[in-house]
Amino acid sequence: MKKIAALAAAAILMAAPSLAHAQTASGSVSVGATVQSSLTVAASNPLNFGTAIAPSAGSVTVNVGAAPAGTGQTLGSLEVSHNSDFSVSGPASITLTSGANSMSASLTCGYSDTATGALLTGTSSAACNALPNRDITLGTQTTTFLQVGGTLTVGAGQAAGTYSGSASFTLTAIAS
Amino acid sequence: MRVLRAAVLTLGLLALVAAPRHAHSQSLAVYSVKGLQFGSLLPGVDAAVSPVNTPGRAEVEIVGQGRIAITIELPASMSSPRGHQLPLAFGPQDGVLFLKVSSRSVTFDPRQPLEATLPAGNQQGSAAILYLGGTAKPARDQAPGEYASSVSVRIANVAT
Repeated sequence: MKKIAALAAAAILMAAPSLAHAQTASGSVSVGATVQSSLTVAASNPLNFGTAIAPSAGSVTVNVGAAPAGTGQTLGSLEVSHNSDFSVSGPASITLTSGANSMSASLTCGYSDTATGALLTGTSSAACNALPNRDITLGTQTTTFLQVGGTLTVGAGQAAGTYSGSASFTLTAIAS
Repeated sequence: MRVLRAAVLTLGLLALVAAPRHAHSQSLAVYSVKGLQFGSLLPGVDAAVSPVNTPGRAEVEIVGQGRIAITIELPASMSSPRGHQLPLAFGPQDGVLFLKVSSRSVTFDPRQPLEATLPAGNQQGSAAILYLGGTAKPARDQAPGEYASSVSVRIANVAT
């Protein structure tokens, strides 16, 4: 009889875990997204060389960008919002016209975190047709100012007047 | 010999007692049908995927019957291969459990465990489908590229 009781107890012990065991199941589901490269030009300031007086002989140069802009001068800038590196394609020079009269200015570009001040020096400042890419630390940068300065050469006998022109820049996001 | 017979009889009785409990607990299973896809995102622009009739919602089939508890482990963010994080958010309307037999849908908060009763009578196929939505919240300076993560779904029988 003791053996029967012992066997029954053993059987109960064996059966008990399966009765108390809770069934479970699990699985996983993927989550995904693609963040696009974003590149927009939000605002701009014109490049203004100010007032220049034509010499009686030879030529004079007016520079904007090598130093903080002087009286009547402004450094050109484009405010760029972006989340990736980008490249810039622009002209090396610009022709300013006033009616039938014209004169030429070379253009120098650079990148800055602010719209004002002198063009950055070194590798980030160059002729606008040879500007290095804007490289950023991904996930940290949202605004860059593309600065545009230049050197205007005014020759002897240059007709008086207000001269103007425009330069187009193409910015291209670089895929990471 | 009498002892052996008695033992066999005892085991048989135990089996009879245990058998009905086993018959109630059909095997549970979870099958991922479709992941949660937010698609193409713009930096600084939140993107919400509803669990109701939207192509991006996640879909999970649940097999089983009886009272079950559903627990969902939700990620706080997705990661890019370079290690950038894209925050995720889940709200009280982002979970839907569709019970196939009754064609009834239950909206629930996927951040909280959910208990539901899966009806009998659908032994071969899934008893319910779990739909999951959510919101991706890319920052203004969110680095471009692919982001991924995963959601874990766990179900368990609940003693009644």
